[in-house]
Amino acid sequence: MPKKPKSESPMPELPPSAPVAAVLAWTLPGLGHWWIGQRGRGVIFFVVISVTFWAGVAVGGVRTTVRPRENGAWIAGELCRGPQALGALYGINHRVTNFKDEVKASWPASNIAVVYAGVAGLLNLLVIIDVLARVESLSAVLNSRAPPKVRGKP
Amino acid sequence: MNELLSGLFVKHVTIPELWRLGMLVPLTLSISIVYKTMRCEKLSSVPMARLVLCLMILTCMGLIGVVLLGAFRLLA
Repeated sequence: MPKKPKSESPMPELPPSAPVAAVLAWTLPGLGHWWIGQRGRGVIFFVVISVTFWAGVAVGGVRTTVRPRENGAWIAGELCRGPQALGALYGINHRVTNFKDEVKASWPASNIAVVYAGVAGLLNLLVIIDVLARVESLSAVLNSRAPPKVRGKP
Repeated sequence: MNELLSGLFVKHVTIPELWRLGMLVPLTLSISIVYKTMRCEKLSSVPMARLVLCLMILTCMGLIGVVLLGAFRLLA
């Protein structure tokens, strides 16, 4: 009998909801995969995407990395990273005001930081799309297993 | 401890000139890990696959860089 991978949980009775999986994946990278039972993948996504995002913020400082006025398109990517990016955005508006200009990174640290954080967000977007595809295939498998409905009976 | 942590994410890090290109490696690694974790059916095959993809990306980017440098020098 083939061995079952440790990270995968047994198949659920009901198909998971795609919107819930997508929202969970946006909230915390990998949480959507964890919820549909693919825990190993979920942990890998969480660790890699979080480390990439926060490495970017650490390199450039939060004021350089998450700055909507200067990094327009990159901010859109960073926001795919979820509430942690929103938290960083809140941080620069409410917490880091006493540091002002001296914490802004110069080139190339500024570019490296923005690219790291933006790529982390875009990777999370890929993860969200992946969890939606997996939910769809899981639902198809579960629906094909369901017994045929008999007419006239609920 | 809290000051150290908040300073870590508030103050920027100075990157030495030699490390600028080196910063490409962790980024490429994270891209290849996420991509291969999505594509591979078995998680046990991810480490080798991500290494191959990472090397491929770095090699291709290096080649593109050399070609662009050559073109720039020819045109200058």
